[in-house]
Amino acid sequence: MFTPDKKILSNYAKVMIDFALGKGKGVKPGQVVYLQYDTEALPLALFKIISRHHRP
Amino acid sequence: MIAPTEPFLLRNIDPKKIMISNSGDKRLLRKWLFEKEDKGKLTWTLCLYGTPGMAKEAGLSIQEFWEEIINACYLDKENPIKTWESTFKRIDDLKNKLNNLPVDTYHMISEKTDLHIKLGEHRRFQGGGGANIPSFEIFTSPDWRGVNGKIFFNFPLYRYGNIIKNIQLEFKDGVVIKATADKNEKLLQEMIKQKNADKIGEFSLTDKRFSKISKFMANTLYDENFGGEYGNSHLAVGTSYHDCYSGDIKKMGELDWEKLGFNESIEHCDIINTNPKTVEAIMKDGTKKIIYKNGLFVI
Repeated sequence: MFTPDKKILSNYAKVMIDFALGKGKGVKPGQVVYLQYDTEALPLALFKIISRHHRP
Repeated sequence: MIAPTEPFLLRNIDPKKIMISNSGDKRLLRKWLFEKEDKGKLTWTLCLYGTPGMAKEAGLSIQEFWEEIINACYLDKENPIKTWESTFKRIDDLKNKLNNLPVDTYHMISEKTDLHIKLGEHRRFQGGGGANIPSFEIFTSPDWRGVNGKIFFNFPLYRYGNIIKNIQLEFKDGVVIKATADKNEKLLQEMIKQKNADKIGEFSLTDKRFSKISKFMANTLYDENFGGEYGNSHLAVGTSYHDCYSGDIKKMGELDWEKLGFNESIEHCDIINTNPKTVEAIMKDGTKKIIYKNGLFVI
């Protein structure tokens, strides 16, 4: 199974969470995100979850 | 995150059964989500995760398929968000120009296509809002009652675990009066039989100068943002987008939407045309102006 480079997945997660959600403004502290994904997208899903969890 | 392993999982299922999945709880969930969005308490976005199944259907290797995703979403840039902000600013500028035109009706001419679309009152174009990555399209939800003529969609439609090829729709006073396809016409017919799925909810144009997508990707998220040689236009049958109303959404009720010709349906299915085309705007005073030609907005 092909998995893109970690840097690419990290950038992808940032674009979706810090930009795309919230109409181009990103997710703000305290907001809830419902993430729905097909199983094959697990590598990116994990990046999204981790990138939020580690944020202060 | 869209990542179907196999795009044709439902190929042997009766289309009538597939449509049943759109009833019941799904309707309630959708209503709840839309109401929440109208109140400004919900935003959403979609993206694509490349799979071998989709790559094969697009005629690409999985590496080539991912190259398209990386390129389209600026994922190899040091700061992709900055690049997205710059792209959305350009889309926003164009959108504002479009919204300032006193348009009554759009007239689209293309291969096997001659279609009039009345914009309707209190409308605005949207685009570059973060819903969907990548997103290069500029779209609105016109008054469904003012659509007349015929349209051909040269891109195949991947929907409900199936493919529908070479769709042609004919409208009279906003309602589909003829729907044909070379492959899976029965599924198309069943889809359109759903309540208000025989009326449009969206009219969209993509300027090829914005879109980084130049390859057929065998899924709606990318294909509806296709740039290529001639950009793309797509119509969605089914529900409208309330944020294409230029007034205060929070003050609107069900009857208000109906009065303005915003369509309400469980369905929202984008169907795409990437052939060369001309779109002319017929203004409220009757004058005409070409606004889109050969994949470019010309305003």
